[in-house]
Amino acid sequence: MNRDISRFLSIGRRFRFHQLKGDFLFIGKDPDLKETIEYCMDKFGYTLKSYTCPVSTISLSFLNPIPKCIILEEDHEDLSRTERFLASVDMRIPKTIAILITNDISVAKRFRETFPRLTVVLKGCGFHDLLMTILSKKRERKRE
Amino acid sequence: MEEIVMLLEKYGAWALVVFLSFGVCRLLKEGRTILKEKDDMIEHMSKEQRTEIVAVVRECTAILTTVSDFLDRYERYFEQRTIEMEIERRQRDNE
Repeated sequence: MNRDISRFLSIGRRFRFHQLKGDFLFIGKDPDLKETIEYCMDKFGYTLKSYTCPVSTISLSFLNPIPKCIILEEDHEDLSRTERFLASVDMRIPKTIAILITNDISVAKRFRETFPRLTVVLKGCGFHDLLMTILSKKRERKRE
Repeated sequence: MEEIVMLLEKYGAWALVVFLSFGVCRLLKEGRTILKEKDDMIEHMSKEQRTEIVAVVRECTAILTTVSDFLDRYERYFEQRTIEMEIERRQRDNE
């Protein structure tokens, strides 16, 4: 992808993260991952809602405020369901930040190409660091 | 090479025509392959560019919606603050 476009998308995502009000949403089945996210959310005082399967994006768009960030674990049984859900989030609620967590590098590559606005994280490779970086930045801004 | 020369001596123009036809066919085949590769590359690039354009447009929409939400929040806060100040002023006047 063009570097300027990538930078623009990254800055836009950071801007949305700082400005949006709303909860974090975790959709996935992995208990370890859920625990990590819960730990991070607790540490920085954010609220987290968890689901074990993709929810309808129409229902999400009716939430007030709509979720700030959706952390989605790859559905191993039906990848097309994950794809449909992400496409729907991208189209219906574009201001929500979407993060996909997968342990398959080819899936990560494919989704990155299909959804350039999506943040794809490989399981066990820096997800905790990513969350801590984003959240601590937010905290620093609040202190300022 | 010698075999080719012998063939040319034996069959003359016909052999030449066969060799030339063979060469032209090979060139055509290579040309078609290159054209197909070029078309595939152009298609891939257009698809990639289309995805990028859609992503940029969606990001712009998201940023504008976020700004609009922020302005709505600020407006609500401003109205609330104005009402509070008005109440405080009236209380002071009454005292």
